[in-house]
Amino acid sequence: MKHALLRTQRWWSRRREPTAPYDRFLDKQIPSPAADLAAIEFVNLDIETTSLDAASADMLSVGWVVTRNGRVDLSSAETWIVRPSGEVGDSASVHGLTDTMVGAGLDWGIVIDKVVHALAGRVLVVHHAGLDKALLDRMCRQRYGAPLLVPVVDTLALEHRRQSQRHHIEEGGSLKLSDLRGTYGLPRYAAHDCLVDAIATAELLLAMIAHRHATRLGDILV
Amino acid sequence: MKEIPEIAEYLKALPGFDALGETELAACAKGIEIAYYRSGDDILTVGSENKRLHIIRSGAVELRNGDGEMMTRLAEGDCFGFPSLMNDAPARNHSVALEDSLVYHLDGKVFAHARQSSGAFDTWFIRALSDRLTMQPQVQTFRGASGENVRSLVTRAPVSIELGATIQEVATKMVDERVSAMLISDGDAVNGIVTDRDIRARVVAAGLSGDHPVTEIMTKDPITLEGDAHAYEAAMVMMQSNIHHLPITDEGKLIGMVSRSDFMRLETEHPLYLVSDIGKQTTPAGVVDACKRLPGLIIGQIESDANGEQLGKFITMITDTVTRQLIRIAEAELGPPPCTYAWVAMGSQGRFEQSAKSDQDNALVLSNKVSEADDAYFAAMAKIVNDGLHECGYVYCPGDVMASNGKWRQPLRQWKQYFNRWITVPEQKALMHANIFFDLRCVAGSVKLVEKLKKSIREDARKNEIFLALMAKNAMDYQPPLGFFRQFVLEKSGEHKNTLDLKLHGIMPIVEMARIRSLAAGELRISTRNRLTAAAKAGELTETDAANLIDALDFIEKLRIEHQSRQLQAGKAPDNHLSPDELSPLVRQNLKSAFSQVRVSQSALLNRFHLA
Repeated sequence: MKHALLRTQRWWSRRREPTAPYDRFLDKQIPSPAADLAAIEFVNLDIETTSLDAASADMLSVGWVVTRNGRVDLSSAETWIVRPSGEVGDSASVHGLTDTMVGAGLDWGIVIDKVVHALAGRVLVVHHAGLDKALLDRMCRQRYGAPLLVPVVDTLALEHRRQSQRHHIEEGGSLKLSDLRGTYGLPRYAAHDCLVDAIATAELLLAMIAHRHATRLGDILV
Repeated sequence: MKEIPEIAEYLKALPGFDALGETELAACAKGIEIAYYRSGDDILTVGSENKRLHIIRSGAVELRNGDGEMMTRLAEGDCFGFPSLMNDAPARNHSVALEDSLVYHLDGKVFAHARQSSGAFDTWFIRALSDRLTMQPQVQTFRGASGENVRSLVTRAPVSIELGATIQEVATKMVDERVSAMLISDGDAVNGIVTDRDIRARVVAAGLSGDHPVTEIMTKDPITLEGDAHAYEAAMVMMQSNIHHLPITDEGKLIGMVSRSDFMRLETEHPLYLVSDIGKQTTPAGVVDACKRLPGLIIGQIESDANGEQLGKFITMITDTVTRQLIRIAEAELGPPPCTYAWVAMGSQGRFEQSAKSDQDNALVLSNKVSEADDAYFAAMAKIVNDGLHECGYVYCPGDVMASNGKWRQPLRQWKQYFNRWITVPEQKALMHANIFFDLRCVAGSVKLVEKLKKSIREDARKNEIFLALMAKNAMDYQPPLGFFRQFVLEKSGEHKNTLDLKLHGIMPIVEMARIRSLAAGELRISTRNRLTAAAKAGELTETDAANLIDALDFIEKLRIEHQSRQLQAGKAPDNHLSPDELSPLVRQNLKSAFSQVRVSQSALLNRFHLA
């Protein structure tokens, strides 16, 4: 049902004011839940934001990497810094981005064009998708007058679903990206930046698919 | 902006890749595809097309040849697939994930470019290629207590004579060469053997003349053995076939002969010989004297490829023997004991994990019937044993945890109280004691006394989460010596400047985690490996985590053994301080992985007790 709704929304959005990147994005068919996972291309993405509040947060930087044929292709990795309207403020210490570095970034509109371009025909993968999805959606509405219409896989929600289906929460219980990776025996990454987190998420999804013996997209959509 | 410094940084730390410049590393990072394999998944099959270099980012991979024989096992940081890539040929080996593995597949074109741009990188892989191509299937051969192979017993080139020789000629040559057996050969092939016994039984006793051809009396097509075989295999063959001489070959070509007397030399170096020798001593000085052969035996064990577990058991077995003999000597001197007692070993001896450098930790558990006057007897016994052990090289415990200390020479009820107090009122000092005393094992005397004590400990400890949590917190005092960027953190000053303390920062954290996990699982197993396995079985930690920790322990112990062996051979006192310069880049890399595993397990332990 959700898939049908998404397709209707995408069809509806096409009748609006044409904007090149967004239209090309809508032109490409989205994979159906019955699609074979091996044939699907995923955009594993992570965003650094100015705050954790979905309504007011701005994008500081974004990184993504594409998974195709069941492999994370590092040649597809991209990361962009957004030139902000205001100042970076407190979150700078968290992300290690200073005003100067951010100043060298691109206008937000160009960055969302790039994201939307990458997402065409693909599935978006985010760990703890809520905030990132809301932010991308807001950016799309602002720039194209239409929402972000893409199937989303949320690795955190996926793990949460697995644990609640088993009626128990695992030892330690943390669903943080680094902790979950530990659970799946994946190595630890030292750095905390959006591209590394995007790669980390991509690897986690591969591990989750392998452990669940998932074969269809519908198996991992939450 | 498409650089991926995190990945380039990782590659740079790999052997071979450390020769690449920044541009090439960045190009390599971008040329990678990452895949995840479940344990048992195929990565490459024999004869398949291979266009990539495969780097194990985490997990383990086994290479098997076309016959399914295991060629080698590879771990984190190891590469495979380069022989087929470099020769532009199909894959020669079958690669299978042994554990859940994350594998980097590096584009062959990028790899080729990197080889062109760096001579050192190219050389590294050419050398690795020749290693891989000459690799032989790994057959599990039996390696016993003294693991010499039979080739090492061959002392001289084979003495042989042509097939056409007469009995007379053979006998003359045997006398000239001073041998008791001679081979009759046709070129390289062994056709027969003649021994002193044959000449006695088949010539002299049978009244045969010396001009008969030797072929009439020789034993045709004698049993031979390949030089790689274990020395004991040779002894077995000779005993079973009732022969005294055994020709030894190397790939079918004759290299020499061994006789039963060659084993006499071997036997005097056998550990069991030392055990029986210690058992014959009637004075502490005699025991001390016998123990002087121990370092040589330890070197022998190491050369026969004993791993950490085997070596720990071996050294502990000798220590146990020494302890028992000293107790026997004490009883002979002091008369029969006034009541039942148990001599308890603790710490590494308790766990069967002693190394070439271990101090003594022991105590006496006495029957509740012991009277105050009886203590003088046990004090005297403790002194004889503690002093004797010290003289043998097991130095006095720096914390005075020894039976000669009155505090640790107590009746069972007092011991129960000790443990109960440590567990219910876990102060800092109590935790330190608990760490040593939880590894208790009865070495001599009444096993029953110790079992009773253990039962009460097990019950006290399992119920007490707070105590376990504090033990867990305490266990974090020893962190693996790895910095933020996976660099080694070395001692900054003092006698052991620029070294790693393998015991304090590698082995102890694993030992402590195993103890806590096993106590939490309500188990009071003794050795670290058993503890981890039992705790995993009880669901206290995952099977993978347990297996990884055991692997890490094996590896760190192996390095410690090799380090101590080098010291013993140089006539130095063995210690635990290893300089990373002693290690090859690959071994350094593996050591880092082992330390990372310890770190990951430590944070899991903290999580378990909600201390994170």
